[in-house]
Amino acid sequence: MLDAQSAEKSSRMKKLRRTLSESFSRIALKKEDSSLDEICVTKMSTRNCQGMDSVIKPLDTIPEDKKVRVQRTQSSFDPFEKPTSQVKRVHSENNACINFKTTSAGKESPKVRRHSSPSSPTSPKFGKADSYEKLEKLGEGSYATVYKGKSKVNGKLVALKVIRLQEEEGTPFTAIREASLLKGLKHANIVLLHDIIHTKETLTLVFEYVHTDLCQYMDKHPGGLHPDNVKLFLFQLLRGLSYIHQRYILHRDLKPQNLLISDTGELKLADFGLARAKSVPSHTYSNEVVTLWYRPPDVLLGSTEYSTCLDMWGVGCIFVETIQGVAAFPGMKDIQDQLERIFLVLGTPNEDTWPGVHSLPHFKPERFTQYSSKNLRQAWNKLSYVNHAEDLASKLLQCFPKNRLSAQAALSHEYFSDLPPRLWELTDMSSIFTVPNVRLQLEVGESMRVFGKNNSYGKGLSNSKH
Amino acid sequence: MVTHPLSHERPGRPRSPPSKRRRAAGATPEERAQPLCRGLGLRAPVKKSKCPSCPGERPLQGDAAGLCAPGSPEPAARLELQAFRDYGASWYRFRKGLESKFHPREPLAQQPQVTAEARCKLISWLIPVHRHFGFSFESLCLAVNTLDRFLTTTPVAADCFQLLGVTSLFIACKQVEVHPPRVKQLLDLCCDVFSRQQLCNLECIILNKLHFNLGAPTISFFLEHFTHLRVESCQADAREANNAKALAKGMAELSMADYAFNKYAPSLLAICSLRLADQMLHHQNPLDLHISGYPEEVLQDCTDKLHLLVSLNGDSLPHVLPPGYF
Repeated sequence: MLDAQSAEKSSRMKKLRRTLSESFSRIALKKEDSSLDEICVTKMSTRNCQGMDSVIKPLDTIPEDKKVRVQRTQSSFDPFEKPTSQVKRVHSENNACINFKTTSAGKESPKVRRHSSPSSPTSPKFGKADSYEKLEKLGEGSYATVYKGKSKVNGKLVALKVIRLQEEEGTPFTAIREASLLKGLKHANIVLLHDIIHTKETLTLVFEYVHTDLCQYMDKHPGGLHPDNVKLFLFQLLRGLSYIHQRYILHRDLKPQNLLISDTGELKLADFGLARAKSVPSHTYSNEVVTLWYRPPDVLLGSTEYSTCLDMWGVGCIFVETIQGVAAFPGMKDIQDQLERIFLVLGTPNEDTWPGVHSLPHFKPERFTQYSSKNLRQAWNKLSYVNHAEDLASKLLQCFPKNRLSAQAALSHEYFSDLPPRLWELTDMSSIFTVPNVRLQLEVGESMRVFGKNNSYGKGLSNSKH
Repeated sequence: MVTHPLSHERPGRPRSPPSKRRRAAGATPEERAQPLCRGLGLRAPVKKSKCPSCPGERPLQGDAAGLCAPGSPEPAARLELQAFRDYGASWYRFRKGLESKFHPREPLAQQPQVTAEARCKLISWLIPVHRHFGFSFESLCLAVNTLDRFLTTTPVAADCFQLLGVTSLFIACKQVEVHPPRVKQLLDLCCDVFSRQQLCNLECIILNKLHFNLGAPTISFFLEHFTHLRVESCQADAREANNAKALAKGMAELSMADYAFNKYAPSLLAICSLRLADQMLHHQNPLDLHISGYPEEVLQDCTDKLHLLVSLNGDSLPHVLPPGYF
């Protein structure tokens, strides 16, 4: 069966193989003195490929002599109308062909690829490698190394995420996603991408420098954070998420390591390497995405169809962790163990509490102990110390994805009702700390507001899965 | 929401999760049996050899499994609708707002060698290629957008044009596919006339030239959006909405290959494709065109052109049209 399948596949593959043009002696990006660079080759080829009948006929394919200029009538929706009715030739001849500059094209050494070397940036907008001074290494991940850096232009600190370019498969997809998504995101609670430096061996993303992350912050202040700070962090997390979800983007890898915390308490979503624009819904995501502790049960059960609610489960986990001081569901072993921990608190799902759960690939009722659902305060007592905290957590930690609160809705939850109203009117780029009386409280046992000196970009990186 | 039959048609794809395989097996027999090209089907062994001629090849026939079966949307579809209820309006607003920034109206205006005909040929080839790999329609749309926007920045020689096509597809897949193709697979499709180094170099050049601005709003997005709206409004029945979408997708693919349609924005092409699909399928509850905000003349002009294109290429859409339509 497999053989037959692969044979069929390879036969189809062969049939798709096509050379659309003839000579490919070389490709080189030529820098002309004109403003445009050119990709040129030694020899022009205009030979038509065979198999032309596979080509879609554009509107102007009808030969001139057969062309009948038909007045388009508004009602001409006769499906049997024959293609002889040509509306009009859309392309004017004069824009089709500008004389090809053959100068120097043939004179260059065929091996030259120097202009394609990105070390000579073709665009002035692109940062130059030497505009940043590289300081100490902050961390290393599977595909990138993060350094602290300093701008030679304005002296500001930056984080340089240096991505090695693989020879084999070109630019890593994580880099392409992170760079292209972050370029469009400008928000106080999203890490700011300053610059992209593309050299021959590396691609460097230049980020604003943020001192620490939520994981380190919690390590430094064990036993749960100050309830007011929890609220401010959660508010900022939801603000950032609401912003990206509104833009059709999922983060997909929420965890404390990826939430950067500045010295004033600003929280910034970082590490968009696994993020992606939401796409055709039928499209499946790899189900190896979210770190196990923050992975929602639907994904653990093998669902590959998810949406903005994927990120909201992680928000619930992080909320509980910041308030209680321990991870909400710290699975120790495998997916099964992770699910058991979730069901122990939230109850083992069935078709009544979660329509469709039985059809998920890994749901085997006999494999799970039947737990009944409990009040969250039984599992995490500190939720009961703060008004409405338990209610909000329970609305986020819903096994049935559809029941999970959206980021936008969560921002309007009563839990936040004692915050100044101006927080909901901020422009995207304004920090919540621009609102009077909004500031971080000292954590327990903290005499001075001095935060971790160690940046943890790298920590987040090394833990991320690729 | 409703699954594209197309997206799941990836027979024998090694790394596909099991669910995908199951669905691939469910594709219609004729679809699986029918090769994408009925020509010699032989691989051109060496550089510069002639390509296999493929008489009667129909680039669009994969689309599909055709008309969607009636029935309620899958659970996942309901989930997507939930997110759509929360965020659909803002998704649309942002994508629509980005449209003009990402819309290359005349990408060939400054090209010395690349002609509209060559572009048509390339995209007509990319369509079965993306389908062969089981890539989403979104990937194809992004690839064509990247290709066109790159063409506005850089003159490209005719014999690099195919490389530009597969490299654009490569970048698009890295953005949205779970399993992007391997470089080797792409080179292989081009009969190995390009090298890995060339492809990787061109990838860098494209990323540089486009400044990593790759997230274009696509026809695919707008087709989904309008279909969601229609299902949400509860006026249309889900089956009509899905059938219209399937047919509209086929038309949208055709339109991407024809340079004459470059002047139309993706949201306009999406709404007009759906409108034409509704008309051709004689739907009782056609899509309300007001949701697009385009004036009637604009809609009519684009729909007329699409109609013409569909009548020129009617044989490319057999699976999405009712039997005996043409």
